[in-house]
Amino acid sequence: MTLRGRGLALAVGIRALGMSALAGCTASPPSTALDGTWIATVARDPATFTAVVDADGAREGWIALHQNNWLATGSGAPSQRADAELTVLEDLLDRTNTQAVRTLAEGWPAHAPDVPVPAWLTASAQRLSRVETAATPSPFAVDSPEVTDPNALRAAYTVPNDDPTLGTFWDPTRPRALKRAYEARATPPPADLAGALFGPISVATSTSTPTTDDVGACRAFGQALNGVIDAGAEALAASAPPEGQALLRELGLVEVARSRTLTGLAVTALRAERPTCAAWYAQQALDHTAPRSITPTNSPTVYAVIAAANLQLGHVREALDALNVLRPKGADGYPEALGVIEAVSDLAVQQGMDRNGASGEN
Amino acid sequence: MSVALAAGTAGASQLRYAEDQTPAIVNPLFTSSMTETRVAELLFQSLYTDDHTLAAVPQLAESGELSADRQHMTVRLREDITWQDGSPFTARDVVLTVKAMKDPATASTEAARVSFIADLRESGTSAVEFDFVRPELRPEDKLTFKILPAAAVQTLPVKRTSPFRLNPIGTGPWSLSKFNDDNSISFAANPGYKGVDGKDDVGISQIVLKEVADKNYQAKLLLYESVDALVRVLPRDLAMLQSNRKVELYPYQTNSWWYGGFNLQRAPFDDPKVRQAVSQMLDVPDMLAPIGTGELITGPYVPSSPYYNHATKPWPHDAAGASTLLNAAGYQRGSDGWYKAGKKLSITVSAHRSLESAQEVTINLQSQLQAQGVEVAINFLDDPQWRQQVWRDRNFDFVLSQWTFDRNEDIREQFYSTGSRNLTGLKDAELDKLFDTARSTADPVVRKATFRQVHQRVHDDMPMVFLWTLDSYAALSTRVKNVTVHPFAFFTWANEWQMQ
Repeated sequence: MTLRGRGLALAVGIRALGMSALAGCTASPPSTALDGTWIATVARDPATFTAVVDADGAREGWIALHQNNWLATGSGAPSQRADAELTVLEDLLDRTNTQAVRTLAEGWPAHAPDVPVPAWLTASAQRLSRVETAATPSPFAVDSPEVTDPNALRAAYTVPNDDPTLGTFWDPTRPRALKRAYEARATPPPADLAGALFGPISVATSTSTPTTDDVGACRAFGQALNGVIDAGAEALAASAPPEGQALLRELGLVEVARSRTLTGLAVTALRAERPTCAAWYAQQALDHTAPRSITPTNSPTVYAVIAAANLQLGHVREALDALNVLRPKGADGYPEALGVIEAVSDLAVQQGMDRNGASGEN
Repeated sequence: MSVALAAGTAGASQLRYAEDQTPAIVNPLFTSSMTETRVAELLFQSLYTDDHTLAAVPQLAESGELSADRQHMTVRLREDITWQDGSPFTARDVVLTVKAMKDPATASTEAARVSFIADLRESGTSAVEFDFVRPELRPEDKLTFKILPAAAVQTLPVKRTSPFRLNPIGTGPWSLSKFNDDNSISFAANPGYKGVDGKDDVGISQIVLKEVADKNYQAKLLLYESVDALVRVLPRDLAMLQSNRKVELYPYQTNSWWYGGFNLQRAPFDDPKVRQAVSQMLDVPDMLAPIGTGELITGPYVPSSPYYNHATKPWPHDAAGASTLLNAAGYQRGSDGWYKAGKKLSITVSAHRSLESAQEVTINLQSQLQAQGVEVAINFLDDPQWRQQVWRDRNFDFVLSQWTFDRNEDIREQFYSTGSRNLTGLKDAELDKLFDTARSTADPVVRKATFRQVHQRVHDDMPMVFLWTLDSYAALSTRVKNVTVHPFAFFTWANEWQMQ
């Protein structure tokens, strides 16, 4: 289903529930593995869900949050949740960008010994180091270093820098500036449904969380997690009132929760320097029937973590493939991703400079 | 070579994988399809191969020493390698393989991969001295072509029809044990296999390539456990497989794109106005929709490629514009089609019978063009017919096909005037210059920019209607463990796979 279609489905679902949300509430439902999660709350008590999404006129924002369309969440609770998501996204982009620029600069003498390192690349690497400890979001090429409004920053990021001494290039500090801007604006999520809705869930599995980058162990944990979620979802679907069941089905809530849980595991694994597991969790988080698109299950973060993990594993071309999903299309998307894409592109080209290609039909 | 030979090497485990078509021959000198590439990966090795980070590491090589001027290299060979018939692997095998690949009369499809080698010679039995055409920074990155036994390549020219094609001998983790009556091929683990970094064990004792010509049936066979692996899943089967907990999907980066290629050596397709008119008659998104999700392309790269030119605009789907172009090319619209000098505009669309979803696409294409007055015939070809008619005789109007590239996305052979895979016969001196610039530059930023110009130029020349790229997924039973899929050759690390 397309982004637009999903949004419509959510809107219709919410309106329908508003009329009869209390009709099917069960007094003492059987327990499931999903008890205590927001999915169980929504399924068993649709009225609570309706109250949250209708509060303060934030319905459109919740629709956008459900669709992972974080830049369209407006204000209020959905926007605060989106800020937290965007902080993670920009952190991942920054991580990828920094690694790409540094690897490109460091590898230049070995791959192109007869070509001087471009001035913009040297400057980029130096400025990345400097900005890591700088107080301002970006002392480098952002026009106004004091600007901390993410929207204003993003608006300035649609074109590359054109410096008379360095040439045309993309400011490598842009994702970091945005990350800091979102970080500054983000507030802790409330400890209620509004703070958890459409987010990851915590469920108990008999398989312990891996602590090494052993993909076999991560696969076993992921499969155990899937098993628990599958069983819990089945039990919940059978015991929830019709309106709750409709919500689960119509909004794909189980798959949303599964995806965001696996994405969270991927981000955690990446930050713990376990890129192989990060890549595996992220691939499991994706809905492969809607590849290369942002959907309620396929968030920008999942593509960003695939990119970061693959880059760390040396799979530059695969990183580029994931990043390309974030390439802005028209007015939509993340213009700051363009610079990251170009940095990783340059790295992919650099690493293939000495190779012959192979091809085959079909 | 018998199955029994390998029976004691590993546990009695068998992996059955589905291909659309069993390769007619097995000889890396003449590999042209991805099916053949995958089989070659099971049987043969290279001087250098990819490790899991896709960096070149020694495989048949022990070490390499590059001269100070970077134009000569001595590669010392491993002395513990034997061919699957028990004979030792030596420098002679390497020298004769390269000479066979370079031999014009042999017409190896892989000739371009050794074009950087000016000469080579044996230095004893365990070293080879290479002379390069120009200085090479990391020649090991290019020494990744498959090595054949000297006996198979010592008589030039090597023929495609050589008996080796049916009884190939390699040094790889598996040997070919039998072409079976049901069009399957059985491979047995090579007990003498020597892998990279001491990984000499082969986790799966037998592999069976099963031909499943009807791709619509492959996913069901996986669910019914009649096969254990699909190398390429149809987009429409993804949902069914993703929801099945006995199957795991493995996305991999193949850099594949579909195209409709014109024969530029044949009228009226030598006229760019006719090619553009045909292109503008086509509603490409409508052609893609029935076969699954994918991304439309405007040139010879996938959109995530560093070389893809995102500034290139797609040709419009514009029936009125197509009419204007045909008028300009001398055609007049008659009651039943377009005519020039009394001859009706007609086009025969040729497609390989094993190309997935080709039937839906060609029928849709036929319907679209016929509705606009172009007569269309469809010609599905089996593999020998495809090689003969399309590749050798160049006897076609328009081919529907797909190219798959490794991560280097080297399209030179497809579009350079003298390229060995220049099927359409495109000759564009300016384009050749761009390719030469890209090849000769040592600056990655210049190469990227130059290939983006190539993208635009090929788009403008229009030897092909560039169609789309589809996502590539393998699907394997969860009984197969420790799976890592190589993004191009698929089985590069299959010796590490295990069956539960």
